[in-house]
Parts: sequence; structure tokens; C-alpha cells
Amino acid sequence: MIEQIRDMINERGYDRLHEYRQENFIQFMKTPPQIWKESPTRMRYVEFADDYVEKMVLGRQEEGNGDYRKGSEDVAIVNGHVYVYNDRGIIVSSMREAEEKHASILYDYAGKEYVYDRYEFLINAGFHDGLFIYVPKGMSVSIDIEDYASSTSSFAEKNMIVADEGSHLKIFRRISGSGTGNGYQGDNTYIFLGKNSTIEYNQVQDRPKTVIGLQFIRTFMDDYSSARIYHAENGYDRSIIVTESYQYGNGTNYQVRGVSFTRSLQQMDLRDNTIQIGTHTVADIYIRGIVRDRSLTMQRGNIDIREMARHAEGYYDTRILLLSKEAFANTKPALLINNNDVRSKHASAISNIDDQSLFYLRSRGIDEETAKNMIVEGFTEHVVEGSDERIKEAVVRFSGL
Amino acid sequence: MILEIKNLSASVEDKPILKNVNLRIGGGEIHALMGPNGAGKSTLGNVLIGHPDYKITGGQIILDGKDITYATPEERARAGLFLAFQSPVAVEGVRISTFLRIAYSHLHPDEKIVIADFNKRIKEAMKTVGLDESFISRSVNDGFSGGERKRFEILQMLILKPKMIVLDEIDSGLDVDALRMVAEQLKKYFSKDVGYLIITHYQRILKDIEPHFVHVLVNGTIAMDGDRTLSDKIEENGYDWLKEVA
Amino acid sequence: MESTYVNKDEEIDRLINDLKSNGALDYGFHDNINPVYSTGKGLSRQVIEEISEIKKEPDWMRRIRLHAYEIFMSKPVPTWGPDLSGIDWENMTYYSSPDEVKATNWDEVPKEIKDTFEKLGVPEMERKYLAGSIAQYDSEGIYNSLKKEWEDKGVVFMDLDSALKRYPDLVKEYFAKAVPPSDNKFAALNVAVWSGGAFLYVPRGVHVDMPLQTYFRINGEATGQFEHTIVVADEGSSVHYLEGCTAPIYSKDSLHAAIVEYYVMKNAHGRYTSVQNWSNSVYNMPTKRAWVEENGNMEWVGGSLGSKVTMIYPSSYLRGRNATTSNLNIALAGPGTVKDTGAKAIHMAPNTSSKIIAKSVSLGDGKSIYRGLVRINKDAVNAKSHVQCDALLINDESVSYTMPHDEIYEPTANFTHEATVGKIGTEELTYLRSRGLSEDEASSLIVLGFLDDVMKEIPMEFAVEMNRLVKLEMSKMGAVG
Repeated sequence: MIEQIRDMINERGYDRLHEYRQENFIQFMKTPPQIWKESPTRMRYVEFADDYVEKMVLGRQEEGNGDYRKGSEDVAIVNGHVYVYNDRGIIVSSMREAEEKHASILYDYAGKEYVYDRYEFLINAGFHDGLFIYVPKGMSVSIDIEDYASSTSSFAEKNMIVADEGSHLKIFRRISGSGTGNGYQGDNTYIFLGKNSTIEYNQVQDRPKTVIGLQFIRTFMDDYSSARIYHAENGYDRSIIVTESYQYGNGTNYQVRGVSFTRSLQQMDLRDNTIQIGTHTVADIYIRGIVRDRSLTMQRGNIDIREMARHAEGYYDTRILLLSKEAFANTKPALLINNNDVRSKHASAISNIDDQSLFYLRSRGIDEETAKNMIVEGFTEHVVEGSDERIKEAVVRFSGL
Repeated sequence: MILEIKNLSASVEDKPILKNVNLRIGGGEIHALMGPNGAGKSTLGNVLIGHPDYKITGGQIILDGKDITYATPEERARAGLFLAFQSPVAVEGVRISTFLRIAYSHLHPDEKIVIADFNKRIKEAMKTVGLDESFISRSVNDGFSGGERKRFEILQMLILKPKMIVLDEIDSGLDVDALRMVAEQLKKYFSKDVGYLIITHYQRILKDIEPHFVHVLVNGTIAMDGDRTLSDKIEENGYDWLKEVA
Repeated sequence: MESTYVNKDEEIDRLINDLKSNGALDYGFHDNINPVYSTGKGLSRQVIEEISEIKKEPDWMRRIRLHAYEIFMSKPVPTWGPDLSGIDWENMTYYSSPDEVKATNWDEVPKEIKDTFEKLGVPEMERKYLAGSIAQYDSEGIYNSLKKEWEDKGVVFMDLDSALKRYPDLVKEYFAKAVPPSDNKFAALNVAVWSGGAFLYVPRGVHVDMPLQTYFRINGEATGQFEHTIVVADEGSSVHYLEGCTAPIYSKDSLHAAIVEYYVMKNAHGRYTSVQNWSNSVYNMPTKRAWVEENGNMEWVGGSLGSKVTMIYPSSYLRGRNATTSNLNIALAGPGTVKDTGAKAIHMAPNTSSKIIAKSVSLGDGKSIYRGLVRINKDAVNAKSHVQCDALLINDESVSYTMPHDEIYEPTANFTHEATVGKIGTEELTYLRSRGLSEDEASSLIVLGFLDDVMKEIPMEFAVEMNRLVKLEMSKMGAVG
């Protein structure tokens, strides 16, 4: 299959991103697969094989989903249907279209990428299409993305979101789908923040629980930019979801609030990391997980503070509610601190619903089911504080027993 | 022992706080430094003891004829200067007995310390300032209440026997009894060899211990010098009138 | 308690004075001993056969060695941790025996060796604290004494080679059970070429109320040292086993791959303390593991001070109901060194509990890594675990990584983990200095204060030695910043 991907890339010599694809393909080939066991008893917490990603790259969104068309609303995008945004200079288009019309912007920002995961390289090398958003200097805008796909289709997308200097962008993105097919669906979403720009990125992911999922959300941050990322993850059969900052700018502020839900036989490997390079950077990651039935949740988070990142602060906090005898919950936080002018901390906890709290609620006449739901909701409340209302709604819905 | 502060200017994070402050405190003198919030009173205390976050941008600090403007904190302490901190920091895991003994051996290098005797002295002093004996094996300020921290500052003064003592808001966070105890100990410790600079926002402590000189700091500068009557006037009229004078 | 504090304080005072007057405190000496037998450089089946032959071992041991050798050859050098490419497998001597002498009495120990141990402080400790002592020199136990009262109670304490001759069945029952050669490459190597180490058996209901100790050193350039220690605390017994290591400084890298197997039976209490101060040319890769049965309690206390690279993760397998374990660990990563240390607690039964406290200090470009695993198996009902890791970074270029793995498969379990990283605070430093302490003293005190939780669990001699080493390292670094 790898030969097929190579040929596919080579055939598309006309492609404006041809060199970029080639480079990423070489990086994929050069990056060795992980050979050590992640745990004494498991090779991987969530099994994921090269051929899953190869299937993503060789696949396509199903017919009817791929045609991008223009709209006139100020609020845009729907599954492949992209609204080009009015005349304020904001660009919303497909990656294909952006390659034709905005190749220089694409290339400018592709040069700022920092990638090291081999699967991610492969998506960059072979993605079919995706979404391109560009917000010019000083502009403020709010964009909705409806990302809907059939469960039977396999595909790899690359999305680029660029907020130029001093701009403010709010995104609400719903990732959902239909059916019970066994597609393989991959997605690299790269957010580039110019100096002093801000983004609030809200993501609700609720793909069918039969699909294999892989997603990388990276935020590349120039001086004094700030990002606030909310993500509620509920779907997929097996999935790896990586959310990572690359804070090369000074004074950058990266905030993540995440909630994950797994049930039945779902397996989710959630990785929320920071890479802090500039001085005076702040990163604060706060993740909650609810694990039911025979599902598995892995929550890992690296606070990676590099040598030059003086005056840095990095925090990671994860808590998991383990609600079933058959479920697995794992946490693997890491602090990677490479200079001493740093304040950093991580904490993780895994437990069941607190009996005392449950008893207290029941003593006030609330039945056990309701009481449990209330506690679970309460558990996630702090995370979604300040997020888009639709995130809150989704979390309440996912929390239900 | 004479402490001379000459044209002292200092800044914090490049923000100028003190501007050309002049003070002269001799042995056997009690000075009060008053001023509204944000006038730079605590900055002065921290500058005098050599806190690295406070940068001296001009002027001199001279202790007994020796220029200590750029001396390290320990050099200042060893020269006889003592600052009772406004909010003493906790130093986890460092036991009081160890801490005081090492400090004492530096301040009084010629004296031989017998550990048992020294610990007895600490315990006695603890009784005097109203701390339980068991504090001796606790860590420095670790888990202390605000009041206990203040008491412990006074205890350190009694044990370490410094000559030039700067008390930064020693009266804040103390109840009436504790305040009386502090004043009493300060009076008892006072002698012709000892000088006090009492930094305070209120006049509470000055009722119990009468200053010979009163200075008022406004916007980082000494706006007025005077005697006891000046502090009375401030108690009556507050600080606003001084801003016009200054 | 008061007297302990005063004593400790006196020691600290004395040490500060020592520090000022004497810079030559380092264990930078080694003596000239000619090993009488060595298998030469490199490893092969032939070498394994030879070792077994020289030791006149039972056949089962020879076969375990050969089996382990196959595993060793088949496993790659681990790449997930620190760089181990500096280990020179080809040019290492895997077995050498220094002398025929086996002393039970201090007077009989050869003078040259005695001088070395005197510098290390072994005799004094022996006089003051120890019930028995085996000092390991190169690959053989050469000094072996045991107080009579313990012998009368049936306590067996001797080097493992002797135990294998005198109690072959007892050794066979426990050898390579908790740590099988398949565990990791270095464990396989140890089982293949082990030599020396201690065997300690405490019978049912016997309480050994003084710590038993051995002192290890590596001597001989590029000599690997592969001692294998087995401690068995039988039902209802209690024992505290101590191990201290210092090593002379050599230019060539040297490998240390020990195994400690600790069996804590029903209602028994086991404690293991070790302070390691290998010279900074040593790769220290031990495997230490305890099996803890019903109501048993296992305490690990460790200090990793020296070596070039250390990888050590003492583990407790909580196999019986109500079994408990604690693991207190200090790691000091000096300039140019890597301390990859941590702990593992595997909860396999209901109501088990574990507590892990790890403190690390990195100096210069030293790198300290916490790597740990807590696993709570399904049906380990109401198991509890708490992990606390704190790291202190002394210099700008100091490095600290904290990488715990937590795997929880039981919903009634309660697991918490916390980690902090920081530097010496300006406020604390200024406060102490404002009372006349020098910058070095103030920062040493803060570092020792930071380590205090663990330090107070360490026997005094070791704590004093740790204090001294911390101060020495701090003073070597000069100004903190």
C-alpha cells in the first residue's frame, strides 16, 4: 500500500504542494515505528497500525460530500460545503482551491510546521483535501464548521486555520457522521496564530462508534498569541486524538479544556501536550474522562518546556471517573523540564463516584441514577466553563448514563 | 551603630519606587517610618536587606561607616542589620533549631555554641514571645499562622541579637495581646547600642513604643520629618494633607 | 525524638565545617588488587560455563545461567530511556575473583582492603549499628560476620555463593523467581553471570531489630559487577536490610547490574534501604523487586547519588490481601549524569495500598527522570495508591522529566498522582541570607529541607552521608542560579 501512496504522490507532480507532500512522505519513511511496549502488558494502549493510516490516505470522502460550494451567510461551512466569506478579505475554501488561489499563504505557513509523528507525516503527504481558513490582520470573526461524514468512507483531511496578526477567531466545529460502517478517518488540523492574535476553538467530536479515528490538532503560536481549546470527544471505535501546542513565540498563552467519554468497547488515546519554546509562555491543560462498560481511556499529556523557555509555566491536570468493573483507565502525564526558571505541576487521579457524595444526594431524595448523572455532570462542569453553549449541551448529552 | 541612607533610589521590575530617600538612624534612637499604602515603605525594608528583586538605582546605604549598598543579604545581617519581614516566607523542611544555630554562628563567630544550651535559649525565647516549645523542631514558618510568623520574627531578633533593626509592619495581623508583647519585648531589647526603624501604616504600635523621630514617605520620597506630634497629626488627619505639602 | 534532631544537627554543623576546611572528601581513591582469577574480556557460552565450573555450582544453576544468557543475547538494549550506547559490552570482564580469603573477623581482612573500607567508614558503622556485615569486594563476598544471637534464631545471612553451597534447596526455591531473567536485558545478564550478593533468610516470627548491612564497591577497571541478593522475610517476621555503595573513580565506563529479590511473606514486614554513590563512570542498572503476601508490608528507601547513568525502579508486587508498600526515593543528578529512577506498585489483591514519594535534585546539566508504574488490577477491590514526585532544579541548564504510567482496571480503586517542578525560591533564599547564612549554606539547607520527607526515613549514617554529598555537590556548583 505504501507503494500506492508513493505513486499517488508522484503522479500528482502538478500539485502545488507536491514538494511538501514528498518531504512529508520522506519523513514518514525515515521515522521509525515505536518498538517498545507502552506498558508491561500491552504493546500499545490503543492498537493502531500503519495500514489504518494508509487506508485513510488512499480513501476519499464519499460522493456528494466533496463538492464545495459557495454560500452567502456570514456563518459558514458545512461538511465539505464551504462558504466563501464575504469581502472582508477572510478566506474560507477547500485546500484544493487554496492551492490554486493562495499557494503563497499555504507555503508560508507550511514552513512553520513542527511535526514528528509518523502517522501525521503520512497524512500530510497524502491528504485528499480539507479546509482552509485565513483571517487577515486585525479582523474578528466567528466560524462554524459542520464536519459530517459517512461511516463507510475512509479519508485523510488536512485543515489549515490561519489567524494573522492581531486577529480574533472563534470556531465551533462539529465532527459527526452516520451509519455503522468501518471507515478509517484521519485529520490534521493546524492552527497558525500570528502575533497578538487569539483563537477560541470549540470541537465536539461524535463520529459513529464503528469508525477508526486519528486526529492531530496543532497550534503554532507566534509572540503574545493566545489559544483556548475546548474539545469534547465522544465518538470513534478506536482513536488517537492529539492536541498539542507549539509555543515558539514569547508570551504565548495556551489553554485546553477537554472531556472524553468512552463506553461499550471504545478505546481512546487522548494526548494533550505542550511544547514551550518562547519566554514567558503559559500552558494550562485540564482534562476529564468518563469511562464506562468495557471501554478503555488513555489520557496522556506532556508539558515540554525547552531550554530557552525561561519564565515558563506549564500545568496538566487529568481526572478520570472509572464507572465500570470491566473498564480500563490509564493516565500518563509527563513533565519534561529543561531549564530551572519554570513553574510546573501535573496531577492525575482515577476513581469511582464518591460514595459520600452519592449518599448525600440520595439522602435528599434523589434516586441513584439521577444522583450519579448529577455527579458526572458536575465532574465535567468546570471543564466546559466559558465554552460555546453547544459544547456544554454536547457534554451534558454525552454524560447521560 | 549608625545606619545612614543617602539619596537612595530603587526600582522593582524597572519601575522606580524610591526616589532620593535620606535617613539617619543612630544607636539609642527609635524612628518611625509612616506613609500611605503604596508609598514604598516595604520596598525600603527589602532594599535595606538586599532583596535581589529590588534594584538600587542610586544613592548609598552605610552601616557604621561601611558602605553596604551592594552587599549581599548575609553580609548585611552579619554587619548587624535585621529586618523583621512583613510576610515571612515558609522554608519547608528547614528546622528552626538548625537555622538559628547556623545564623547565630555567623553573627557571633567568636562565641562557642553548646547545642543543648542554645536550644534551651530558643525554648525560653519561645515562651517569651508566646510560641509553644514544640516549634523548635518545626520548619521555618512552615504552617505558621500570620501571628505566629510575627512572633517568630521577634524571637529571631532576641536570639540573634542584631543592632540595627528594621520592623516592617510588625503590627499588622497581631491581636491586642500579641501587639503588647511585641512592644514590651522591643522596649526591653532597646538600648543605647540599638537602633529601630519601625515601618508602619497605622499608629497602633507607636502608642506602646514612643518614637523619637517620625518620617513620612509619600510616593517614594520622604515628604516630612518630625517628632511624635507628626504621627499624632497623621492619626487625626490621615495622609492627604501631606500630598499637598509634598 | 529531640535527641535525634540534636544529633543530626550536630552532624550537619560538623559537616558544614568539614566542607569549609576540606575539599578532599570525595571517594576518589582506589587500591591495587590483582584478581586471582578472571574470565577475561567479553561474554560467551564458554564464559558462563567457566563461571559455573569455577564456583562448582549445582547443575540447575548452570542451566539457569545458560538459559539467561540466551535471553540476554536475544534482547535489544533498551532505547526508551537514557543513552546506553556508552556501555562497552565487548571489553568488559564479566567475572573476576579477587582473593581466596573469606574473613569472618575484621582482623583477618587483608590490610589493603581494610584501609579502603576504613575510608568508607564501614568498621565504625559495624561497631555502632550493625548486627552483621558482608562487604562485597569485586565480585566476591570477602568479609562476612554475623552476630551469634541471630544465628541461634535461625537467621541465615551470608553471601549467595556460600548459601548456594550450604542451603541449595532454599536458594533454589527463591532464586530468579521474583525477577526472572526474561524481565529485562540487565536482569538476564545478572542471572547469567551473577557472582556474590547476599542471602538473608529470616524464619517465621523472628524480628531482626537491627538493620543488616552489606557494603558494595566496584573495583577493577571495566569490571562488571553482578551481585544477586535474596531476602526472605518468612511469615510474621520483620527485617531491615541495608545496602550502601560507593565507587572509586575510573576513566572507563563500568557496568553494575544487580538483582535484589525480596520476599515478604504473610504478616511479615520487610524494609530495604540503599544509598548508591557510584563514581560518575558507572552505568547502574539494577532490578529490585519484592513480592508481598497477605498483610505483608514492604518499604523501599533509596538514595541515588552517584553514577553516570542510573536506571532503577524498585517494584512491589502486592500479591495478598491488605498487602502494603511504600517507596521513598531521592535522586541527585549531578553535572553530566542521568538519574532515571522511579518505582512500580502492582496491586494484585483487594485492599492493597501503595505510596510512592520521589524527590529529585538536578545540578548543572544533570538530568533527573521519574519513571514509574502503578497498576491496579481488576478485582484489587478498594486498592489505594498515591504518588508524589517533586523535582528541584538548581541551575539554568538543569533538567527534570516526570513520566508516570498509571493503569487502573478496578473501579473501586482510588488513585492519585501529583508532581511539581521548581527551583530554589528567591524569597526563601533571601530570608535565610538576611539572617546571615551564606548563599551556599542557604541553598544547601533549602535542598536538604526539600529532601527532608525522605531523609528522615533514612538511617542516620546514611542521612549524614547524603547531607554531606548534597552539600559537597552544592558547593562544587558554586553560586546557585
